[in-house]
Amino acid sequence: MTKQSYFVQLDERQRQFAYQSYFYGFWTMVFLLWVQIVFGHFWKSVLSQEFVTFSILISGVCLQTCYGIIKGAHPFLHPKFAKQLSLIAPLLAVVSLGVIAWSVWEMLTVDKTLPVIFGRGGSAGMIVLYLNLFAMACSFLYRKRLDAKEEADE
Amino acid sequence: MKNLRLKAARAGKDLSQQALADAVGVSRQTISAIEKGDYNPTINLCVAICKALDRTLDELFWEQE
Repeated sequence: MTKQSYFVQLDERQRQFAYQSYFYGFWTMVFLLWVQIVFGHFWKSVLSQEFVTFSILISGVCLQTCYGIIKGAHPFLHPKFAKQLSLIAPLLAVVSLGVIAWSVWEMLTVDKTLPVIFGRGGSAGMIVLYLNLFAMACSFLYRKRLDAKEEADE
Repeated sequence: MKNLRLKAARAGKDLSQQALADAVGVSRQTISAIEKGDYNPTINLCVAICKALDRTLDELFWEQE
């Protein structure tokens, strides 16, 4: 498979929603960064900079991806990738729930203190990451369900 | 507002949403959104759809009183 064949051409409606998804993702990151700058003073002894930065970035990316997928305007939905993702998405959703449960258990029994939980490599980072992956997997499954419903209605 | 005339014209040609989408070079979701009235297509896409269904713009996209 050549590099060219990975390229997905979005149509006019998909491009419109793709631009919107980038808009929402970007401004979500800006808003969260603003919240961190304005109110960060209150939690700077608890939340590590790595955790805050990672959470802000992954939240924007997650919002952009989920919005694009739900509106049917994401390259993941192209038939080239949809087949593999149909297998990966349910698996990812289940794994994410497992990792979140494990991280919560670790948070309550191993890490215990807030600076450790929200510190570099703490369990809160894993929870945020897998919550976002879970949201992406669910948005893909929801889109597939909508597609199936639309095809049945046509 | 739903575009039932487009849906009827597509069904009249015995085309699925996917087949029409492939014919005009867009995704199936876009054809579905146009039929449901969730998306206003550009004139280029309207013309492409009309050509694929052998209809005129008036027949498929002009609002009737």
